[in-house]
Amino acid sequence: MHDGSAADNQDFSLIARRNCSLQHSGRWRAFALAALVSGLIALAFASIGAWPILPFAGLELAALYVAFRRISRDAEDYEQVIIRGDRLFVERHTRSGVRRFESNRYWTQVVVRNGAGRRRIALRSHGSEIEFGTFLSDGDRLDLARKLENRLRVQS
Amino acid sequence: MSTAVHDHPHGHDDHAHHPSGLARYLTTTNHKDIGTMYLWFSFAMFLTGGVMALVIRAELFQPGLQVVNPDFFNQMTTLHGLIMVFGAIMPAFVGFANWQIPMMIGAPDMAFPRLNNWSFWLLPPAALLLVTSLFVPGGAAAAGWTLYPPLTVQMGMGMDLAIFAVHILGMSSILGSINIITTLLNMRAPGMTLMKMPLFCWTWLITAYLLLAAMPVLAGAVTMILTDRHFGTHFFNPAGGGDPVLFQHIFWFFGHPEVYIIAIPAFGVISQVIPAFSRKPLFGYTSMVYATASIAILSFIVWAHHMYTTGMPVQAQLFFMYATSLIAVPTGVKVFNWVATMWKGSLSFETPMLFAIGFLFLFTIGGFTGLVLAIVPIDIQLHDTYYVVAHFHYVMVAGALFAAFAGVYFWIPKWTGRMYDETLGKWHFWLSFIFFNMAFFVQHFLGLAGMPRRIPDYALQFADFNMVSSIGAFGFGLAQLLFLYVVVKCIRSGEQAPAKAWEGADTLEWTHLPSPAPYHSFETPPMVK
Repeated sequence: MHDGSAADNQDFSLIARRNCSLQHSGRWRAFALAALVSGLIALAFASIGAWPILPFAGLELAALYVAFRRISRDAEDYEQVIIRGDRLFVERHTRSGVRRFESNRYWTQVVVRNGAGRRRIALRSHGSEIEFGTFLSDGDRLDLARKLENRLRVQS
Repeated sequence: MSTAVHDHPHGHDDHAHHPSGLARYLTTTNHKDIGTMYLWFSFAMFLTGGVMALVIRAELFQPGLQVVNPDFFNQMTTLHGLIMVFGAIMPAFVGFANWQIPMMIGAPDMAFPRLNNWSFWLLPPAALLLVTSLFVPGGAAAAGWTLYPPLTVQMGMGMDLAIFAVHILGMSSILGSINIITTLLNMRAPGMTLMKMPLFCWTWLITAYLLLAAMPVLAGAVTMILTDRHFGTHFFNPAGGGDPVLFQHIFWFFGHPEVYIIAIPAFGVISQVIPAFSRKPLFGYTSMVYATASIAILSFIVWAHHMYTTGMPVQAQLFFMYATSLIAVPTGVKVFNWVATMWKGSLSFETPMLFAIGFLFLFTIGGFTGLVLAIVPIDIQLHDTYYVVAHFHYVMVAGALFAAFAGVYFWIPKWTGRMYDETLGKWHFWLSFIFFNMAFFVQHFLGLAGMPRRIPDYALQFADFNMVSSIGAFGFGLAQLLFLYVVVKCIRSGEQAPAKAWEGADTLEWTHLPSPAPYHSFETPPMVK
């Protein structure tokens, strides 16, 4: 969770990203290790005439590449909330697209839902609503709800 | 103004809700459901392969041919090996991986839940192919699980079914490995660095890499047999300029890492159980990680110790002999660390710990006989004798299977929310321990005396030890029905298990989740310090 409340011309700004325990470079190093080992083994056998190992190694590495690529794309998902003047902007960037929500900060409610095993928060205004903080832990989410609630009421 | 809303317990957002009936298991993407299916599937295959072992031991109870004809005997040895390796032991540890990895790293599920479902559902058709191959013209493959040509090039259609089954099983393993690697690398809870992962997770990360490296080799090998059989190639057929020994090199390049693909997750289970019942942290965690990785790397440079008798330059024999002996060093590190973990610990001997100590004792015996077989002049005497059969059953049964039993007894309170019957669990251990040694220890003597493996009849001087071995095998088989009873009794009427069923257990599933673990756990990751 990156809290950027001191950013330029913004009363409050926050970016929340999906938990991903491996950085982009580490992910590709992990793929390179598998590709190097499997590739060398398949090439060595191909060199002594056992070439049918090569296409299987290729297929496997292609599947591993697709999996890592998908993880990389998912890792780019993020949510952003910005309070600027009397406006509130929320954006959810996911693989399936971008969802935007804009409202008057003074007319926006922070809704906390205590479901079984999980707490959710949403921002609601004029009948429309957007869930926020799905990438955060329960504790961080409650913390964020309190912070937003205070910020929404503060005069800019 | 903020509003607090409490969802209805059975409402749309109720995370305890899950589908029921057959559809739940066909379509499930939940790691716990899939783990359960893997474990039940592997147990069913264990019983199937076990019955085949009993057919073998019934025939070998006395010299002469009494129960089955030699060809069917060979079909039994082949299917027993294939089913136990690919259908029972490997899926059992994938079952553990499915249940435990997300809970141990604080992840909500595996990285690719649908792929996970598919990985499992590839297994039953493959198992069906193997078992039904018994009923096709010519019967099942009868060349041993190693599938050596030229015999496999000449066999009936049962061989084609076995090849197809091996392809499907390999595909399942590769998809499972991709899921495990991506989960372990990307979905660890904040604060859980790689060197803070429970050792079980480390062993699976290394195993998954081993699978990725080894499985295409097996797939290629059986494909070449298939094309030699039906498409006019001559990879292994000497009549067309092929080389049957090339198959042995390719097969064992896969086959020796395969031993560690089975053994390394077993090391992981033992590395969770021994500290829990010693009430001490694992001794030498870092060295355990490096030792496991070293074993995995070394497993790729020792394959030819399975084929000293095929004829190879003395320099190659020396290389493979020394390289194989070298594996004793990281394995010794692991055994030392497990013993050092127990040293001055506050030990208690519940069933998981009994199986772990049984593993430690018997697996070490299997390791030592492996060292004996690594020595070229000795192996040339013992090659293809019952000494080899005894050796790999000490590694596979007393090693991997005992570790799997330890794991089931250790985690079943978390899986079911109920405790198993401790007295019956201990009976299961002691019966398994005694009958296992009765079945397999005597086989060392048979091998040293020169009894060849994979024969339905033998000379009279081997009769007594074979009789003892067969009685042990039947006793061991019956003891596993007791295991089934213990598990079913636990699920149906076991006492309520606390969240932390074992005082010394300290991984996330014990410290952060109730028993039974909820259908969805760690939807938001915990913070690991």
